[in-house]
Amino acid sequence: MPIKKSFCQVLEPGFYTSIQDEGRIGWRAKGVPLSGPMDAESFARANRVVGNDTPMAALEITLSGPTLLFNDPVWVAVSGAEVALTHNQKAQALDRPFLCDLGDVLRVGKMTQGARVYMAFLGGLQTPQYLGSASQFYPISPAARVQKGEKLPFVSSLLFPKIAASTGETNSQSLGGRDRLKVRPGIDWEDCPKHIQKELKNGSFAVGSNNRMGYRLEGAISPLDFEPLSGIIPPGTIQLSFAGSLLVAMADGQVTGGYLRVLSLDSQEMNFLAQQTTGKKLRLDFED
Amino acid sequence: MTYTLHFPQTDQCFVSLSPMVTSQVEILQQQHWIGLLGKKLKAVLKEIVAEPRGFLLFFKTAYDPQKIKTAIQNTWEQTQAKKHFIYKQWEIPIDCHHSDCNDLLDFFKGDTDQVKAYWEAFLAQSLYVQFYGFLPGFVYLNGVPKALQLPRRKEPRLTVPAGSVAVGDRYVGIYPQVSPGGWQLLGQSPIALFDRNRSLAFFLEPGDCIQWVAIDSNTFESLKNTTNLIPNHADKEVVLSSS
Repeated sequence: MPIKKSFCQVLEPGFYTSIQDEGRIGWRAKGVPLSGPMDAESFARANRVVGNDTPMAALEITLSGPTLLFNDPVWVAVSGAEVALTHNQKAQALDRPFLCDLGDVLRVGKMTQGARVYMAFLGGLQTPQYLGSASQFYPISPAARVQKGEKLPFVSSLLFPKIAASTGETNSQSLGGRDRLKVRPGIDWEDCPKHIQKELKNGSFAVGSNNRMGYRLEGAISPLDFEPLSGIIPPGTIQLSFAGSLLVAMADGQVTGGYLRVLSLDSQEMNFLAQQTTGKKLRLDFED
Repeated sequence: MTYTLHFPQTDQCFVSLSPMVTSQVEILQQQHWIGLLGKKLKAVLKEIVAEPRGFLLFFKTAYDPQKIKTAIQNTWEQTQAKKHFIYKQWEIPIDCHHSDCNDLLDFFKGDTDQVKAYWEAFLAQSLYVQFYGFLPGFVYLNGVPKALQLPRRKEPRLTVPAGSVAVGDRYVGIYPQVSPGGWQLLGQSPIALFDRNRSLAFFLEPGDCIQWVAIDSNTFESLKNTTNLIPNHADKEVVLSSS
């Protein structure tokens, strides 16, 4: 079976496309964010569908996608938000493995529902690792995202993916159909004044500015009358800013932060939030 | 010191410490505890991250809280029995007359005598590493006496140069990379705390001691261009007084 090192070339990088694997585990004590996929479930599904037994370095594509030119055959799968995916100008279904051959052009269009898709390659992207991870995060990696003209390395192989294990899997997540976010009390919940706890339970929020570091949820929460100390902010932590909005730490979030850690999201809720875009209205559901 | 446990997520456990960890020996004690826990829970643990109010355990998957509680209690008892701690003492070069750092002149409204007095007191003050955060390689240095604690700038700077040594309230920090920053800049160090192209990265450990070595701008430039420069350092020991 012929196997050789090859690549696809980035003709257009899209709005924000970066290489992500499972993240930079073990470096947070030195101030290095975890990184990794924003929607871990879609990332894992794309990898499963393409036939990778363990999740490997893939492309995380935000809002509108890249155009790639392939230099050798490789199996590819795309999972996540609803998006027009065209393979040599023909529509290609999500959550299905397909072979991109020499000279093929793969284009990921604009997302129509949701915000992120993952493009996984059989065998994973072979980009360099920094501190044990291929996840792009500047300045740990030399660039924060893929650049126009860049060559993305993979191992070309005609080896057929284990399709038996991958067919039939589709997106079971809710991309935008719900308007509640399930939260748990954060590390500092007990330090949060009672009237603010009540406002959080009854308040409504709108997704504000957002990126791989965090999501801002705009609301009208009373400001704190004390300044909290800096503390650890694991991804999923919701901090209350001085201006009364909520700051959700996401994959590239700083290891420490200086606001009150009022609430926390589990990974499923982070996956959901990672598919939301500016303006989405949300209320909070408190888990017991 | 007492601890309480919080469970923000099923795969996280926050060990909250009261009172806060502030002295060098307390930091070394906390690090020792984390080290023991890390070994004991190796099979289920992703990583442990410390801060002044405690530390957070990240697990690979949802954990058995009872097992974790036992491990935390056992390692805490072992930690309390330990009285001698080893740490490293580092000599960190600093250029206090660097053109990028004139916050003290602004702060003291151009009074050069006050600036000089501050610098002299600052350079004589040894500090110790408390924790990393904010940016990869950004260290929070504790042990800043009240007289040297300065409030943050009212308007944060959009760009603080890499290597800047700055004070913000109770901590002194060293900026590992160019970034926005609101602390008062005191000087420039040529030591790269993180540089992907050098093998030296994150060499400071919580509990390590830092002594400043004043350098001029020529020395600054030559040290800045030295690859894999490792500052002078020595092993030291501290003994916990019985409480």
